[in-house]
Amino acid sequence: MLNRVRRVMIALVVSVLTCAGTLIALSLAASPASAAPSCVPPAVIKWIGVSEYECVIPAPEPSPGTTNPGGENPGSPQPTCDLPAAPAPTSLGDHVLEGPYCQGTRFCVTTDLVVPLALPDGEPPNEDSEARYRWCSSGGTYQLEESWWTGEEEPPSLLERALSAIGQINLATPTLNTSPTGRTLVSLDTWFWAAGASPSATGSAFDLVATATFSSMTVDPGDGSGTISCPLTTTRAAAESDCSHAYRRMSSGGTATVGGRPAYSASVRLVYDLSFTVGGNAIVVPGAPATLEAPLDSAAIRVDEVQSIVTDVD
Amino acid sequence: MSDRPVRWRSVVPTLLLAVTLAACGGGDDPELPEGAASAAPSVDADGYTAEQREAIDRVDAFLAAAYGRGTQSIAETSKGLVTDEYRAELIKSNKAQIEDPGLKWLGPYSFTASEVEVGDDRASVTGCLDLTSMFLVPRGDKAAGPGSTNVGQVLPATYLFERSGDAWLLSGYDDGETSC
Repeated sequence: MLNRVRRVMIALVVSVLTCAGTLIALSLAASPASAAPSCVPPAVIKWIGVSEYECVIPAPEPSPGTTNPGGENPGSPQPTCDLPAAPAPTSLGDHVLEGPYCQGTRFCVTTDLVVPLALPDGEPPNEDSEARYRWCSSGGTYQLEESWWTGEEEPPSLLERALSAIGQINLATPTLNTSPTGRTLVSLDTWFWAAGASPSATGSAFDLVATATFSSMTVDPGDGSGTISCPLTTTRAAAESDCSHAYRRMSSGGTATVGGRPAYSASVRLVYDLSFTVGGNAIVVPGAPATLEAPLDSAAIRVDEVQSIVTDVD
Repeated sequence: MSDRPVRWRSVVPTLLLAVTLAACGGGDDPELPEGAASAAPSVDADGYTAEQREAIDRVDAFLAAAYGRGTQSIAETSKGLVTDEYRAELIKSNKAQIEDPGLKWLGPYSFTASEVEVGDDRASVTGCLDLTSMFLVPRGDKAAGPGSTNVGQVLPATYLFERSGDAWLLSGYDDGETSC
């Protein structure tokens, strides 16, 4: 009877679980094979010693998922965990070799082999290699995340993979061309284009693909008049309508030289938006840069002034 | 539990005295002190009586049916161990949470009893259920791996029993209040 009373009390106290439990029951009923136990947040799994679990909403407590209190890193884009609030990995006993440490907002520990864990995939890289396991917690029980052999590099994090993939993107250095080439005249439209620039490029590392997609092209004519924005302009024909500038004064104060005379140093800047996929699915990589710039290129252009002298008037 | 050895020790000299008196013909119809036998039921190495041990054994049998059942359903393994009413609850929840999702329990478990109460029709066994290395894994797996769900806890647990004929049947479960 006591058992029944307690069960009723639990049901009353966690009234929200009626809905959550229903959702879970429905989801379990509709789940494919091998669906892992789960609860609808904020409910978490509470294990029952008769081969069952319940979903309960834990009592409010300091969340490990918040950024460090006190605004120590107000500009930090990546939330971190509050290590003093890390649950003790007592369930893993003497197997814990390292941790708890933060991995994003979660607490993680590294252990050696715990029965009945499977050994890491693949052959150990050498005879001294040992199995290692990473367990992480969002404030409750530590759950197994990954395994590896010592003697091989630990699997890189998502951010590390993203940065590596970005490094594989080959945005060829565009060549800034002008027309007229090298020398132009005041008030004459001068065209600019970035030959060789790509609309997009990709790079990959492990299972992650980073894609750089053209976002903006800006040209600085070098005369101090400011930059001009252009669509991706890679040909002379396109430049005629899309990317031109008329200089208003001679380049006598320019920092570059053409033919031994002062010239302006014009430059082009290409910016690409970055996106990431794993297995074809778009993902967000916390901490990864949002944009990538192609290498800058510049061109010297001398601006002359043509003065006309009227010698005869009819 | 700590009082059991004390009580046992107090009975031994009494028995020795009685036996000595009988052997020496020191009196007619020597009688043991009244109540000596019932006050000192025999206990096992852990200090439990046969009745208490029976209840503990029923917990062990149930845990084997629950956590050591491999790919069998709890409907198969819990026969004769659980009351009909509670068994219907267990079958329903285990089917929804374990069996239909294609999972099974994998890993070692152990139960350490700390308090056993045995009455005429009801009994309870309280203790710590160690599920620190117990995993829920896909039914076909032979070892746990990333993606498996680890219980990772020692649960304080109380198992409630009802007498049915000569046997105790599990009739309920409570979160134990002992510290594990």
